[in-house]
Amino acid sequence: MSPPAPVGPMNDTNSEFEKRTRELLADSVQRVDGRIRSRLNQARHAAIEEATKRPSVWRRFSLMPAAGAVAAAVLVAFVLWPHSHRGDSGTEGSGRAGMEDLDLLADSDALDLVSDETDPGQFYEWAVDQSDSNEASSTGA
Amino acid sequence: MPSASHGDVELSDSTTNSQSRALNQFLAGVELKAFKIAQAALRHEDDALDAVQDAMLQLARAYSDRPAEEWKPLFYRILENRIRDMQRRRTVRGRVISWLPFRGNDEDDEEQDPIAQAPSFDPQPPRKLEISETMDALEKAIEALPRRQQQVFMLRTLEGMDVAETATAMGCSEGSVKTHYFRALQSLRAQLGDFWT
Repeated sequence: MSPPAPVGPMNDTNSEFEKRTRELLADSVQRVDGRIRSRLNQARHAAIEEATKRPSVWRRFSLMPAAGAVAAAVLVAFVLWPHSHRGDSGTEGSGRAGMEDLDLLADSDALDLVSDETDPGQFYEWAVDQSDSNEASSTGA
Repeated sequence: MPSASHGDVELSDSTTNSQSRALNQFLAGVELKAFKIAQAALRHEDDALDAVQDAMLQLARAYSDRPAEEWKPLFYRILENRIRDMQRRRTVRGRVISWLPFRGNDEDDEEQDPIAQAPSFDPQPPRKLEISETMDALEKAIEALPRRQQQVFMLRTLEGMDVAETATAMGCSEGSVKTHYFRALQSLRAQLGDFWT
């Protein structure tokens, strides 16, 4: 078991050390040369320019309904596409499969699995196998 | 109503201008310290400049309409992420280069600038020399600290952030900040004892 840290004198020494270090670091900041200062200045102006180019909060809100409508259209197309593609046979199963696919794509844990380097793609292969076997059993094949 | 919309535009413009001024003031206040922090972590001037520049742009793009009090921890959080990305990329690049069969030694290949290599004839007064030596020793000791200790130490000592702000900037608990800071202090004191007496 290590001995307890000394309290008073050590803290005083630490404060003195901190004070000296702070002064030295502040001094080193003042000594940064002109080339660096100039490049930082340019970077700052570029950042300010970027901030002024940014659309205002109101403009962003005004774009939200349009973005929402596009997202809804994509969602509906994605869910309904298996219906029109496969005809009447097994439409109920296809619709359900579409929803399952959508769930898989929207699942953040699944995204983690995709990025898992030790097991790349295996999760989705498994999911496809599961989906095929479920469809086969529901159609009685 | 044209007059109302005109008024809205004026209001929006004046808000943008005051926001730009505030952002400019904030960035001007942190840029040199941020550069020193990035330089200590990356040990390379141009990489440090790139990291600070990216952090400034990211703050301006994504967070300029947040309250100004939030900018400092956000800015240092972004900077820290950028530094970590650059360090990771360097590690990967180092591994790839180490596998290449015909890699040249860049340092040997680079032509040395004779003027930069020449000894300085500017006589330094003893006090200035002493400060310079102490500063060099301090910077080297800070560079040698483990990354988290270095980060806490620089944010607390150079940037003057309190424990809560530092914890927000680093994405860790206040207890963790205190622990890293204490360890950094102990380590630096052990290394720099001779320069402080």
